[in-house]
Amino acid sequence: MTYIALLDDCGFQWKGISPTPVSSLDGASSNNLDEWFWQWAQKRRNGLELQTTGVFLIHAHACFTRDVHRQDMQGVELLKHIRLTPWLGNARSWHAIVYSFEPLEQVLARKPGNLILKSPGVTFLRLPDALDLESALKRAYPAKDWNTGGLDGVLDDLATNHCATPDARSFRPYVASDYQPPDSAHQISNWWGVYELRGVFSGHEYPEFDKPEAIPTQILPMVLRLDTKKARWLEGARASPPNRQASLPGLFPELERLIDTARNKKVAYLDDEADKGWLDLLVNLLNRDALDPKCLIVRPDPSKLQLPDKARQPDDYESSVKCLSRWVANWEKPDLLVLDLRLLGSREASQDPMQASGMDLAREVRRRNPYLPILLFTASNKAETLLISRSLDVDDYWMKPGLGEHRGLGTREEDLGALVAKLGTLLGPDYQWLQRAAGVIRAIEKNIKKTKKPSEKINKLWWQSPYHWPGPNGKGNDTQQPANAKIVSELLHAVLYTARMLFRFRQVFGKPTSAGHSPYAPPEMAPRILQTALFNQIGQVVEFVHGVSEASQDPYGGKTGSARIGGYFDQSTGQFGQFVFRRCDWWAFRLFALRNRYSHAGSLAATVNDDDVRAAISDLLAWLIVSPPRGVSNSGPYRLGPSNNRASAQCKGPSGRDAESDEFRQGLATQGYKELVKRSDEIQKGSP
Amino acid sequence: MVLVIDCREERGKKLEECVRACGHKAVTYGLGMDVPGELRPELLLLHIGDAQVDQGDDIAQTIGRFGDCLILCYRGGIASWPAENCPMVNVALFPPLVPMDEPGEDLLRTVRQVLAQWAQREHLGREWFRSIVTGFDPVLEAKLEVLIAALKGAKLPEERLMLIRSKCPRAFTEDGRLACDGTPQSVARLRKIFFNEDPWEHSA
Repeated sequence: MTYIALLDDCGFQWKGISPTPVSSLDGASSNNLDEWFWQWAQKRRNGLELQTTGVFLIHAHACFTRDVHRQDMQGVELLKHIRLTPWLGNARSWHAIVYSFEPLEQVLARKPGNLILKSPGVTFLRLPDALDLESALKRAYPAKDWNTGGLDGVLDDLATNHCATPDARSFRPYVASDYQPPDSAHQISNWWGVYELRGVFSGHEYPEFDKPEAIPTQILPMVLRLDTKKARWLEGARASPPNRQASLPGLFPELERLIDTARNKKVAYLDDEADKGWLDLLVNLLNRDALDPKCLIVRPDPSKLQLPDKARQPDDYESSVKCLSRWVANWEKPDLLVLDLRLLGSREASQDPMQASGMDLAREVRRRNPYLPILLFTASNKAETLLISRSLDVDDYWMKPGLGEHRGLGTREEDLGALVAKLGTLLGPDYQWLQRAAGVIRAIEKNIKKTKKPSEKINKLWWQSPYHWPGPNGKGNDTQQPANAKIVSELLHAVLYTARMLFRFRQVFGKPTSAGHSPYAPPEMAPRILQTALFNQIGQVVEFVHGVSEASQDPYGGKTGSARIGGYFDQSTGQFGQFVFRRCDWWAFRLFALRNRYSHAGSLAATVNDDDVRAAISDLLAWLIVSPPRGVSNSGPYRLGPSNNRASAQCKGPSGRDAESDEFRQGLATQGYKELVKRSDEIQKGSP
Repeated sequence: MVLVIDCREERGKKLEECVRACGHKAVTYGLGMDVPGELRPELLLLHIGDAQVDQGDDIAQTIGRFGDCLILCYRGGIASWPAENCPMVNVALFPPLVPMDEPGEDLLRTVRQVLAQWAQREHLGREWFRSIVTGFDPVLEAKLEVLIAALKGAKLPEERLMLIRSKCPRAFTEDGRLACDGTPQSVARLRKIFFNEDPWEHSA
């Protein structure tokens, strides 16, 4: 006997059958059909009635909730819910007998969405004839042979041979007939993204059904809406990996790494939608135990996020943005800023992304702390928004996956993986090193300020006072004049800023892989131009501090001014020439050699990696901070030679390359390297 | 906050009570009361009947002043302002006339429907408000309720019958009762009259 699920609140007398009506009593407390349907389906999930075959008997004009009119046709809306709810299992394709007083033509004319009544798997009957179901069905299907089995036979035939096909492409017109793409993609991405990523966390494709407690209560009503189901069916259905569970373990090691990276770090999170589940999501991503977080996530007072209207109150808006940026850069001093593009929500949905409140704030924070990593959250994939990813005002951006045209391109797991990777990069060594280097520059600047007071002269850095280097070949003194500290500081900022551009460049276009660059890779020359600039700037600092330049001449030997930093070969004395010792600042000499290697146009083939960049800048900062020993001479501790531990140590950068590496030798740039070593050993031994 | 502007104080108060029962703040401004300038309602329930204009209100000016919020217009008689032709997507006219001293169940139900979706309004399409308010057809609703009541053998809703009486006179006997004895056959005949399905019944 075929199971009949009656969806009607009217209690009509049926002929030949006595189905139990599923009345509005189930959802008496609700005035929302979406919620009513969800509760109804959940209650029946564990019952057998929706697991087997059956037939729905639906009154088109039934009222299942409060405050509804008969003409709203909740019965038809319910049929749409049934067809578009994947987690309903077999029941979503059950045959549906829909009955109404109104003629079908009138019903279709009144509301285009009622076209679903013409879809396969639906029989439309008129009241009161429908109450004699057997006769009505026989009239509806005159060509069928109904002579055997009576009403049971008829229903059995409908249940087995006339099912709906809600997954088929041919079902599209019935879903699309009254679909209106939601006009606020920004809002949708803000809750749909949470829903999707929560689904990955909970391990359920439909957490609203399998684990509703995993979804924030604010967004559950949106997920349950019929419009959402339509959007998901039409435009938002995302390809899940073939073996969903198998793809998750691949993600978890990345998550574990991120949690370790984020330990003891502070993240500032500014988002007007944070309370809609995004904050919880971040806490869960960055901590192993959300109840015992090791990574602190700080948020400003909600009232501070209530920015005034930019057009109407520009002054108030500007001061609010400044106030927020002070809170971030001067007060909280986080390791990472996660920032929403549109802090004013839909009020600025039509605003040019580059002028959106999030970008205004990013620029203001940059002004206060140029090296704080900023991850921008956006809810839009418009081309103009994508330009933000190229902007240097932020370090990276991540698109909250939305519905319809704003859905992510890959699977949900890939979206979450991308977010994890970006958080890992921005909390990782490159950006944290950048912040530490910026801290060193700040310390230098602080030192410069202090030295304005005569009593604090002791805090002067070595290059801020006259410094006496050895004269040519160790004879006499070659005095270095004090360098202008302000200019040194500005040069250092230029170095660091270029380094940030280089990191950012690699992040945007992808690091080279064994298979080549990412498909978006720019010409190979582009990062090398940045690298050239960076090492030129390093050379500039060295030259400026020593008060020399390549354009000038060494007054002693007629070589370029830069030759004074360490020494040079006098080629007039032989094939390789004799090495002439000048100031013997081998640390700076090494930095300048790197500059020669990586910044000359002819050397563009040599590529540096992030380690090289970090090592060179760290060396530069250390050289500026650590005073050379007094009385340095070419026979002193600064003697040149790879066997000399001290010299090697000074030439070591964080990358661990030592003075004997090929790069170092090439950095010294010369076939006469061995001669140089030999000569230095002679000096060490005291021979002429 | 919901603002009710209605020259009929009793009707306005009932609307206000309905709004409050839905968990929203509401305030009513009746006859001779000036609406303060700083008031920023999110929904305006506005009576646009000619009685309102007779009391000195300028409907167009009121709508212009509260142009940022959703405006549900209703009237008990002749509309003094053509709200049905208003191009503003946030202005909607409730089609049926409402009684003089009370809003009527249909208007209250419509207000409750709007407020039920209030929390999600930012996520809904531009037309959601208008489709709820203007889509209501009181005669169709009356026909459906009368047919259902007749088929169930339940008490016929009098206020609905009044609406149908002038539209479908053939559905009534000479003494003004509904021509239906509750049998499926008589309900089927009634249905044909209501939905103009029987050419003979219709032409007669």
